[in-house]
Amino acid sequence: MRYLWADLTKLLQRYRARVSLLFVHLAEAHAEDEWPIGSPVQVLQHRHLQHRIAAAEQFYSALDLNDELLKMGVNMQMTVDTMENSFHDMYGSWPAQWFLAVPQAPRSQAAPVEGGGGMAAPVEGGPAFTMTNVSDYDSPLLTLDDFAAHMFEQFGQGEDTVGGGSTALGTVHGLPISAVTKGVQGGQDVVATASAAGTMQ
Amino acid sequence: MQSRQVLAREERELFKQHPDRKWLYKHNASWNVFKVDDLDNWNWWECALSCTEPAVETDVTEEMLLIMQRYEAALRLSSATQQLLSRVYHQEVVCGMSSHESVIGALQAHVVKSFGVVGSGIEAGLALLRSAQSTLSQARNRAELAVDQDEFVPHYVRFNRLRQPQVQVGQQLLDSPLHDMQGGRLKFLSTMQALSTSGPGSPEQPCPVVVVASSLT
Repeated sequence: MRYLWADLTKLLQRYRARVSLLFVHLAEAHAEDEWPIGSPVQVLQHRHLQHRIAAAEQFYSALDLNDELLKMGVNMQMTVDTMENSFHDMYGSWPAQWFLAVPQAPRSQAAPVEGGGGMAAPVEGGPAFTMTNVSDYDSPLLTLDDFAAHMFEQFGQGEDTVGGGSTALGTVHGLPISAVTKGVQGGQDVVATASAAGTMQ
Repeated sequence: MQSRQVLAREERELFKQHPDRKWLYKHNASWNVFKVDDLDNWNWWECALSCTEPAVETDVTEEMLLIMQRYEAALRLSSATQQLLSRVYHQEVVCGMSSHESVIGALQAHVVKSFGVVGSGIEAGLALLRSAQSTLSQARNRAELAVDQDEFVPHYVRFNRLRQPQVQVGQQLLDSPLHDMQGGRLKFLSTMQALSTSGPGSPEQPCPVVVVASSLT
């Protein structure tokens, strides 16, 4: 999944005027003392909350989130999952996940959740949210392409912040964003090939 | 020549005596025993590329499978493999290639071939290695393998936290506790509401929120 972050960040930059962002730092996917896979950043699995917060700060710094997204005035908040991994338990987010949550009409009391699974917590005077698109860990490349297409359907072209040219993020189905962004030349879509990563062994 | 059962028993004793797991049996044509005393400096992939594997057709027993699995774990965690995986990181980031899977696939093939599984049997051997947990669990249930359950859980399964989400696409989000960057307690939905009604959104026209969850590694 690591190689997708640059494209995902570009996508978030593009739609910064349309959406807000929430980052949740999870338990480490490949901690040095658990399941190392040669990551250039070596970190032990978090043993306590301050450890997790420190890792989150390092992650956000590595992604240039502060330098890039904050500089652009993106409305976002950085958070960390509980040490009981409550967010992951609810959303199956580990090792990485992104989704778009669309607000529903404001409601004043708790509503039954579609498909079972309990009641949504009441949000006084504010919106409830519906999950409209979620990444699939088994096929992250296609998932990100699908996510880009979904964002395009929701918000249109967005703003080009990648620099130079009229790249059409999310307009070509079946290709990952990287292929699309790297493949658009002179206004013509250049067909590129890509394969989705399989389940990690 | 020692029997496979004796070898397996001795091997288990060695693993107990050497928890760093640098003692390994390797199966070759005569089931001799040797040790690999420092996997950390062994570039196994060079051997995999250049060596001629012994042309031996082998039936993989449960004992062999258990040892193969340990061998795979030891190789995965060796410094040499970690350094190789570090080198392919660049390819992943810049070229968008999922090189990690390629390296692990080659490593598993090397393990299978090291135990005498060759030719058309390699694919079957790989499938056997990747489903070893189930196979060994069944053998244990039949009392054919006297090892603890933990011993044959593959390393990459032991630390795999993947689970089914409770919320699916089209469903309403449910609440969950979170922490802010100062360690204070937050509620997911309240945080979402605040984000949705500020920035590009407003209380009258809340905006969608992209949620991104990940870790440093």
